[in-house]
Formats: sequence, C-alpha cells, structure tokens
Amino acid sequence: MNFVVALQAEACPLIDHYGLKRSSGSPFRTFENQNHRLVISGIGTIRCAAATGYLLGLLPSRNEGLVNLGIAGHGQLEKGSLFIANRVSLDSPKKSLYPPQLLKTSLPTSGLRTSHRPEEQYPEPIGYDMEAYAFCSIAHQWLTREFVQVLKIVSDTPAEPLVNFNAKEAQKLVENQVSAIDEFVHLLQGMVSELAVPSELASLSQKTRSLHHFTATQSLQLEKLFMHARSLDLPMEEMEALLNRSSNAREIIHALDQKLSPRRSLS
Amino acid sequence: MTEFIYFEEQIEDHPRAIEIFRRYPRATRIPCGHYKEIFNPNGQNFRLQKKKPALILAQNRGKLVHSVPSTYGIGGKRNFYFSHMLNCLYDCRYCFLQGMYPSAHYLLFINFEDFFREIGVVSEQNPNDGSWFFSGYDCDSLALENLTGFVASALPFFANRSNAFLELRTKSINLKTLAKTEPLPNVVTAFSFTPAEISESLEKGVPSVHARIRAMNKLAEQGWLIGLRLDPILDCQDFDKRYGKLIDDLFSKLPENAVHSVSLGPFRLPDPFFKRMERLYPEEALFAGDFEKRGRSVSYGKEVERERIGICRDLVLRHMPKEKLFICEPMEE
Repeated sequence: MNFVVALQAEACPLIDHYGLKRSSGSPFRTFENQNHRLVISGIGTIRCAAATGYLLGLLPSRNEGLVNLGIAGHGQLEKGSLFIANRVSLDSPKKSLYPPQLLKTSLPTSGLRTSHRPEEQYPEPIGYDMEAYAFCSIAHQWLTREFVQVLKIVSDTPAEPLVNFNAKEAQKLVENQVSAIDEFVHLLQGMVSELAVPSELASLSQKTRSLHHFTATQSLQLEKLFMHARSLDLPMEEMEALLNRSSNAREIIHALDQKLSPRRSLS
Repeated sequence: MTEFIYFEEQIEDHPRAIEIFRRYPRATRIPCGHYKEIFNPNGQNFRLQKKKPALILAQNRGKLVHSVPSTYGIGGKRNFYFSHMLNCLYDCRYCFLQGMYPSAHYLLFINFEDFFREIGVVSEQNPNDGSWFFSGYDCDSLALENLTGFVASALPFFANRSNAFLELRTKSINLKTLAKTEPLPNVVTAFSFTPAEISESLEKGVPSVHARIRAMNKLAEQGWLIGLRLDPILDCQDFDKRYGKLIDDLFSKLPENAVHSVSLGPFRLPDPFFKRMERLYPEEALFAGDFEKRGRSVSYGKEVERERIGICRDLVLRHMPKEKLFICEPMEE
C-alpha cells in the first residue's frame, strides 16, 4: 500500500505504525518497508501532484493501492472524524472526480473540495482540503481508479475553525485513527490482490523466461497460454514437465498450445 | 440494494428521482453535473465494480431510439432498440456489456416520457408497417423493474399503439408487472437461455433455468406472447445432449400459440470487447475457447458455428414451424 501525505506530522503515526524507514536520495521525503511506501508531498496541489507522480514512478506494477491521507476541514462532521472522499472537486476551474466506493466499510463518506487556500467559511456539509484533487487526477493516469482513495481526518469545523496549524494536534488526530486507517488499508489491499496474477503462475513464467529467450510477442503468448492452462485446469506438474521437455521458446508455445487444444470446449 | 446513488444535479427534483431516493433512504447521494463524469472515465475496473455497483440517475438528452441491423429482427420490417438503462443486475461472463462500458454501475435514464415520445415519432413515420422496439440490449428489461418501474410505464404507452411492437428481453423471474396487466398483443417477453450447466457456471446471479421456464410458462398461460432466445449459442461438451434437453424443456409446457418467435444467435463479440473481457477475467475458461477473429469480430470457427446453429435449428423445428424461427446472422466485415 502506498500513501501520499502532505505533512510530516500527519505522516508520523503511519511511519510508526508500519515501521517505515527513510529512503535516501529522493526528491520527496520517502519512507518504506517491503509492503508500504509513503511520500511526504508538502502543502498544496502542485506539490501534491509532483509527489504523486514521483510515487507512481516507484511502483513495481499498476496493481497497487494508493491513498491520500491527511487532515481537512469539514462543514458537518465532527472534529476527529475519519471519512472517505466520495467526490473530490476543484473550485477553479470547476471539476470533479469520483473515487469509486466499493469497499465494505463503516466509515462515513463525504464530498471533498480542494482549494488553493484554507477554507474558513465551510459553506457546504463537505470536507475542505488543499491536495486531494491533484492527487486523484494524477493517480488516475496510471492506476485503476478503484485503487485510488482519499482518507481525511476532520481537523476544523464551523464550531472549531482553524486558527493556526498545530503540528502536534495534527499528529494526534491521525494517531487516534490509525487502527481505522489500517483496517481500510487492509480492505483496499484485499481488492488490489483480487486482480493480481496468481503467484505460482508469475514465478513459473519468470522461471521459463529466464531459461529461454522469448521475444516480446512470445512473452505475451506465453502469459496467455499459462493463464489458459490455469483456467482449463491443466495441472502445474504437467505444465512443468512440458516446459522441461522443450528446448526453446517456440517449442514451449507450440507444446502448450497442443496440450490445451482438447480442453478448450466448455465443460 | 445500492449504497451509493449518483444523480445529475438537474434531475434531483424529478418525481422518479424523488421516488427512488425515498425507497433507498440510507443510500449516500452524490451529485454530479453529468452522468458521464462517473460512467465514462477510463481506468475503471468493470469486474470490481460489478461486485458493488452504484446507481446513477440521469437524463439521456441524445438520440434515444436507434436502428437495429437488418439481420437481427424477429419478422418485422422496421426494427429499433432503445436503452432506458445501461448495465444489468446479472453477471453473465459472455455478456458484451463487460467489454462495452467502462463502468458496471447501473445507469438509469429517468426521462421515460422522452423515450416514449421518440418511439411514437418513429412508429408514426411509417404507420402501416409495424415497428419493433427492442428494450433489452443494454440491460435486462425486467430484472430491475422494482427499482425502475420502466415496464409499468411502457405498457400503457404500447397498449394504445397497435403499430408499435415491444420486445422485453430478460432472464428474470420478476414478472409481477406483466402478471398484473392484461396481455397486450404487441408486447413479447423474450427469455434467453443457455443449457443449465452452462448457465450455472457462466450466468452469475441469474435464476435457474428451471425457475425461468416455470415463470415463463405462467406468463404464457396468462396470455402473454413469449419469445425464446438461444443467444449466444455456446460450444460445449455434450452440446447435442445439453441443447436438446434445454429445447425440450422449453417447449414441454409452453402452449404453441404462446410462442411468438425463437431466435438463435452464435457467440460473437467485437474484437476490442473480447480483448477487454479476456483481460478482466483471464482465468475464465470461456475465453480460453477455440475462437477466431473474423473481420472485426471474435467468434467460433465458421464450421463449428454453422454446425452448432444447425443442430439447434433442427431441435427447435421439432416443436414449432420454421416461420417463427429467426437466426441472427452476424454482420460479416
């Protein structure tokens, strides 16, 4: 799972929770472990867009979840509430993006408006932040939209308006919601995994390609045949035996195709 | 049924929108300027959305009634289709909707009256030749009737137009709206089927073949005209036996005069749709079938297709005259 967070104070609870380590030599402060990456963008749409683009470049595949987390004002929810943005709009020019809401979670969802300066009037019962629209618009260029989500914690409301930014308070607000955030992240990761190539196929494919030279077209053919072999219930042992008997890419593709041919009629 | 309802801001006060909001008070309502902001963007995953589709309420302001290719009719000279809804309650793995739309959300156009107006205009263009209007191209005509109320609105409209014919195409057994209405001679309810074993593995969420046959027979007994649609015909093991049983079961209790038409259609998909569907469900055995690209479509080889259609045609003709049988010929390109 991957995070774009505007401020160090908002990021600290996640860095601690996931045990992330600082990576050196990167244009944005970046923290990671084997399964998570977090980039601190700074405040505002331009910094956020740049940091999101940078993080997208670090991803090993397009099958990754990406969350924009941070504090936000809200016209209706109480201070400290965690919510999912279901509509992320930009004031000027007027535009909206709609992160698909497919996860079964008890968290409230809300509209969120990204502005270039902090909102002090809270004119509508929605959230107000300074990054989310930029985050979504860049992340949607590369990742499946369902995998791109925005989570915000209410830091200021009409009853408790923002006076000055207080880093300690921001950190505390995120800390209080870390377990709920983690729960959401687990659900999102589960959805991401649904589309992952089965690991046994991925490793067999990797092994096969390391033993023989495959052209780009042959690699695609091989991937497809492996997938067909799986959907047509060809046992892995039979696949491996066939691969061991073949001496080059062409032979492998031909042999696999022959093997699958009688199975291709629907059972 | 739905946790999220997106709606175009300008239809918020439409009586049909208000009624739907009233029936789903716990659904989160999300306003939008135009449905395309939600439905059209690329990068959405149909497969994931299919697990929890949202509802989108909108108005269709474009052309509402479209011509149907000449080879796809059921006896009428003038054939048209319209789509008051995009996407389907069911999840049939062979369905072209998966390849056609970027989103699996249910998109309901609530301006039914505009559809009726345009249907009226089109049917009056040539009032002496009856015009057929097919409603089940982009959705199941009846599966979401409880939500949409479209058929309940359409029946009184068609009741007053003897030169306009309506086909409702469905896999649903939710036939209450029809059951409580006097049968209309210009409305055909067409049920589509694949053999039970295929249906169980490829038609997720669809009532069993047995339940659908029972519901269909009940409707026929009431006096409604019935259409039978074997489309797509899917090649499978024990093809003759499976399709033979299906066709025998379909006709076993169906009064002959209730059968309006039977149509047979080979499996065919535009190539880009097939590729998209294959990418969505790479583990699906159907897509590992023996298909070939013919023109811009993907289908079974010509010989297999001809043979399978022939078998079904012979099986159907044991039960009814050939005048009622129609074969959907794919457009060769």
